[in-house]
Order: sequence, then structure tokens, then C-alpha cells
Amino acid sequence: MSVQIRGLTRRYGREAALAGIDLEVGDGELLALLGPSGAGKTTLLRVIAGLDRPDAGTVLIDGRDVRRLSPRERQIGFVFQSYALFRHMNVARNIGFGLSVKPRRERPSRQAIARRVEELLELMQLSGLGRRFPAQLSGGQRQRAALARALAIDPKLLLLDEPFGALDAKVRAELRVWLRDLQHRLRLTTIFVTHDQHEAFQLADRVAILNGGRVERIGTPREIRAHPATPFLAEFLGAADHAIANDRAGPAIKPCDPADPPPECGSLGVAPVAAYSDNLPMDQTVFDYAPPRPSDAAVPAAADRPREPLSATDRPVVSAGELWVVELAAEGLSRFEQDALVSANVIIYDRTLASTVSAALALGGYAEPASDNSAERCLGFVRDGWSVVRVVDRGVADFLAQLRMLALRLSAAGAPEDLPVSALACRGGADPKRIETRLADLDTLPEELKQVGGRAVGFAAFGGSKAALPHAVAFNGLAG
Amino acid sequence: MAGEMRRPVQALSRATTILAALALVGLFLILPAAFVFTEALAKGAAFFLGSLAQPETLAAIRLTLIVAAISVGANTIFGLAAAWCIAKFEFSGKSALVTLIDLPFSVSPVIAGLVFVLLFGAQSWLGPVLAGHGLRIVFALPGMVLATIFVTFPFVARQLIPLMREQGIGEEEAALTLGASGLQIFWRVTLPNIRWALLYGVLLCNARAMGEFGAVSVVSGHIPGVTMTMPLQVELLYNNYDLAGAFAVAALLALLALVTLIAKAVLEWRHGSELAVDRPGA
Repeated sequence: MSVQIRGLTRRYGREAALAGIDLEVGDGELLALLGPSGAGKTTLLRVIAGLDRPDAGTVLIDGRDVRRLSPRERQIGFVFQSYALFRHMNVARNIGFGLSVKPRRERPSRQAIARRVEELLELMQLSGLGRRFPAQLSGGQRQRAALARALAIDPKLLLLDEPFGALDAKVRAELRVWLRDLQHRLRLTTIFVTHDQHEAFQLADRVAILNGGRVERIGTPREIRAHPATPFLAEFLGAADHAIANDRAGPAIKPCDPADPPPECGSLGVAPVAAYSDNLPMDQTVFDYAPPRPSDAAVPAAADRPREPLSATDRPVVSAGELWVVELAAEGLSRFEQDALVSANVIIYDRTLASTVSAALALGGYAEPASDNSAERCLGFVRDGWSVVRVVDRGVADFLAQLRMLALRLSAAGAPEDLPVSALACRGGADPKRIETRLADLDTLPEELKQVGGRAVGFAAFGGSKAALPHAVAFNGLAG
Repeated sequence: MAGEMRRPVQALSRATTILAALALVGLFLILPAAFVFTEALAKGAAFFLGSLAQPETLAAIRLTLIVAAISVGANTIFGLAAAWCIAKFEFSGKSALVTLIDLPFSVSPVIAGLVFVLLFGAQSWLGPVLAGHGLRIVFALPGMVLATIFVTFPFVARQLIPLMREQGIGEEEAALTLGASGLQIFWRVTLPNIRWALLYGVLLCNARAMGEFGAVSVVSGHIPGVTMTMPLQVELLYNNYDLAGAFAVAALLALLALVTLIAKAVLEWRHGSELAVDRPGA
């Protein structure tokens, strides 16, 4: 389903909300409408949906002029900023609404509707919540329920108005990733409105930047970042987003051409494009770094490992078919963690870490929150030849507990004995006292790792001070 | 010290206030109602029922029910339509319309009745034309219904406008994009969202429609057995020194009011959150 918009104009009194918009959205594309408030983003979305009438211009959906079609004939899924769930209906009836109002001839049977609702509840991770009322759901659940309701009518086009606007940062980061994955899986042409450029650049295939009712710029995140063509753009883009390096092209996830999938395209149909920056803290650290590469035939014995600090260019590179378990450091991403995340195709992260990981996601390929079956997912990805990093909660005790749990689940899922699993725990920071206690924690790690079915390869990196060195050396000696 | 002094003083003033309020309620609300019932039943239940069974009184009860049924029905539809327009659409003259809806509250019912007499009466230019077609408005059922509709118009609309305004048009728009027709949207989205507030408004409207005196009195013409509603019948019986009969009809009217009140209280208790404008958790 493609969309062509030509010369779209909409005035409210003297104010022009849309002042001649030209826009094309390709089949299966995820387009973000980005801009300051009052730029006309929502108006444009409403005109496409038929909820608002343009004063001039045309909207062509698959080449067909939809001006004369009422919203109910357009078959467009619309997710409202406030979700607009029917408050007196439970979630299941909300989702089934679009099917139950079809003309009798086209209406599916009651059972068929119930089945479809059940499917959608599962797809949206809302299983078991069908009987709840909207007021009894959390913000994220409401958002997913609204999305399920819009998808129930098999829309040809999906429009999302500030889909994450009403959610807190943590849930927002989680849902973003989830939505991106969903959109690529369904290959549904999608336009979403946002005023958050990080969101736009992270999610969208292309971003259209609106200002004063006009399209200021349209292009891939990379193109726009590389050449902010106008003063407005330079200012608008410069105003925010120092969270992740600003000289870097935005993270880009390209949907693969299903007819001709490149080799790096796995079961997800997504080819990761890794790009990252060195402009993060902790680049003035001394590292002791001894990567036992499980893919190497001859792993040097512990005694033969280099003892001197290595230069920062030695990065942990996660190779294809490897599974890494990485503990995120409290003070943000360390160099090593960054590198591990960057070289991974898949990042599976713990829910509690969503906000930290949202920064990491930009660096890696595909990411998803850990779930009950994430061990199976890990294994599936590894078998497909992907490199997987599973990010776990900080704190050594937690880290170890999760490692053990993962090991159990992996063997339950039928993981081969020699599956290369690496664990990466970073220790660093400026406060020597904290480093000391953390290093002491770490001294127990290798023994624990050995207990994880003998598959884990201990691996540690240290930042901050030279005081860390003896611990690191001891650790690596034990881990081997 | 001052704090210790204040506490008993506060308690005392609070008790006084509560007592005063109770006394007022008792004096002005409960006492008259109780008086109506005791007077009606003073000569026994058989006499009470006998007074109600008088043909003219029965006719008055029937007429009251008919007038109330028509005007409440009409005002439910008008009120819904007006609230729908005002809450869900933007148009010029909206605030004027809101003011107009309140007009019956500020106009004396007698004047309202008089307007209909002047408009449709024998002296008006419209009356004879209608009479020529066999249509009698004034001193007949249509006039009484019109007057009642006028007086009770604001009740349903007033109840719905703030609630519908607060609910906005998001759900209707969502239903539209999901493929629902206008009627489906009304029956399945809009109406369920306002059902309790609507019922509440209808109850209030009904209570007022049954009890309306002023406007109906002007247009009725007081034809015994034909254009007498219950309030008018009460006055007629009273003026004819049939005190027991007057109180019997009055007691029936009061009973209707009580039933309405109880229904209203039940509604408020069960669905209070859906009647008020700010609804928690929604």
C-alpha cells in the first residue's frame, strides 16, 4: 500500500495548518512525521484518515483518489494519541469492534471474531487481559490495545498519532522496539507522528520533517543527519539528542527485500546496520583485556595471555553464532559494552534496563526485551547465525543468577554442549572505593561461570584505574 | 490553651449548624410531605382510594401520564440532539444556543404558557388557520404537551452537555475509522457512554413534567375530565373544598416524586462516577 500526497492544504480560519504538502510513502515503509508542535503533523494524519477535509490537494492511496471516501470506507488503522479506547467495552470487545460493525454480508461469525481477537491479544502481548476494561490497563497496555483494535480490520495503512506520547520513558523505549519489530513483521505501510526526533530517527525508514505546514525535509535518518539542509533543520536537530553522539548517522534498520534477502538478513527480515561513536565517557581508561575467542581453535592458556594493558582498539567483537551475556555498568555504557553491543546483531535486554538499553539500541541491530522464552529466542538467533548479546541487570549477584537461569533454560531448549556463550561484566568508574568493592564481587565470578554447564567463557574488562589490573589478571586467569 | 478551647467551641458550632440544617429540612421538606400523606389518609385507605377513583381524577391521572410520556420522550430526543451538537461540533452561535437551552429555567412558566396562548389562541393569526384544519392547540392536549416540553426542555440537555463535552469525540472518530456507520456509532459508542447520565436527566425531566403547574394551567383551559392534569386537579378539588380529594391526588403526585428521588439516589449510588464530569480512572 503506497500513499501519494499532492499539494495538500488545510486552513483553519487564516492559519494554514497544511500549506501545500507533497509526500510519498512507499509500500511497507515506516515514515515518521517529525516537527515542532503546530507544524501540521496531526492535521496531515487526520486528513489522510479522512477525519479532516483538505481545502486543496489530493491523497492517493495505491493510486486511487480517496477524497470522496469517508473514513469508514478507507480502511485505515488509526491509533489516537489518547488511544480513544471505548471505555464501556472490555479490551476484547474493543478489538473486535471493527469486525462486528461490518455489514452483515461481510461480517465474520461470532467465533471467527473471537478467534481474531485472541490472536491479536497474543500478538500484542495482552493475553489474558481481554476481559479488562481500558481504565484497568496500564498506559503501555492501553497503547497496545488501541493498536490491536486498529489492526483488527486488516488496515491497508496504519497511522499513529504520537503513539508513545503519553507513556513514561521506560515503557516508551520498550514499546518503540516492539513496534518497530511488529511493523517489519507485518510489512504494513505506517506513518507515525512524533515530536521526539530520537524516536523518529530510531524507528523510521524515512523521516519527513514538517514546519509551518510544509515538508521541510524528507529522507532517511542518515541523509538528514548528514546534511541538515536548512537553518531551521540545523537548529531543530541540534537542539536535542546529546544522549547519543551527535556526529553519527542515526541508527538505521533496513527492511530486507524478501525477494532477494542479503545473507545478513536472518529470520527477522531485518538487516542490522551498526554505527557508533567513541564520544562516550570512559575513553581515558586503562583496560586489561584478554578476549578468549571461543571460535578460535587455539585459545591460549591463561598463563600465556598478555598481562600488560592492551590498547583501547582491542574490542570485544561478537562473532556470528555467538551468544554473549553482558552486564551493563551503572555509569552508562563502557567502551567494551558498547563494542559488544555494536557488533551484535541481536540484543535481548531485561525489562528493567529498558531506559539504559534505549541508548544501546541505537548502536546495535535488532533488540527485544527479555521474556520468558528469551532463552529459546537466543538459541534460535544463534542457530540462524546471528550474534546475540543478552544484556542483564547490573549487580554481580543478579548477573550470576541470570547466567545460571539462562544456562538452565538453554539446556532445556536443547542448546548444544559447545555453544559459545561469553559473559561480559564491566567494572569501572572514578571512585576507587566503589571499584574496590565491585572488583571483590568479581573475584567470585569465574568460579560461578564454570558452574554454568562449563559452556560459559569468563570475560572481564576493567575501566577506571590501574588498581583494577591485578583483579583483572586474576579473573582472566581463573576464567580460562 | 487556645487550641483546647477551640475544639469544644468548634464541636459546638458544628452541632448547631447540623441541627439548624436538619430543622430546616424537617420544617420545609419533611413536614409538608408527611402532612400531605397524613391528610390524604386521614379518612382511611378506602376513602383515599375512593377519591382517586373519581372519574375526573382518573382522567387527570391519565392525562398527566400522557403529557409526561410525550414531553419526556420528545425532550430526551431534543436533549440528546442538542447535547450532541454542542458537545461534539464546533459552529458559530454555539454559546447562544447554550444560553437558549437555559431559557426555560429563567422564564416564568406562566409566561411560557401565555406565549403559547398568544401564538396559537383564537386571537392569534395562527390559531384560526389551524382550527380550520381541525387542529386545536390551546385548551387541548397539544398545547399542554408543548408547554410542558418548553418548561422541561433543559433537564436532559443540561445533564448531558458537560459529560459529552468532557468525553470528547475521540471514541466516535475511532469508531468511524474502524468502519462504523453513524447509527452504529450512536448506539454502540455514544449512547452507552452517556446512558446513566441520560437516565438521570430523564428522571428529573419526568418529575418536573408531571408536576408542572404554571404553564399548563394557562394553556389547559381547565376543562374538567378533559384538560385537567394532576396538579390542576389538586387546585380544583381544593378550591371546591374537597380537601380529602385534593390531598389524595397530591399524595399520589408526591409519591411519584419520591419514587423519582429514590431512583435518582440509586443511580447516583451505583453509577455516580459516570454521572459526574471528572471521572476517576478514565
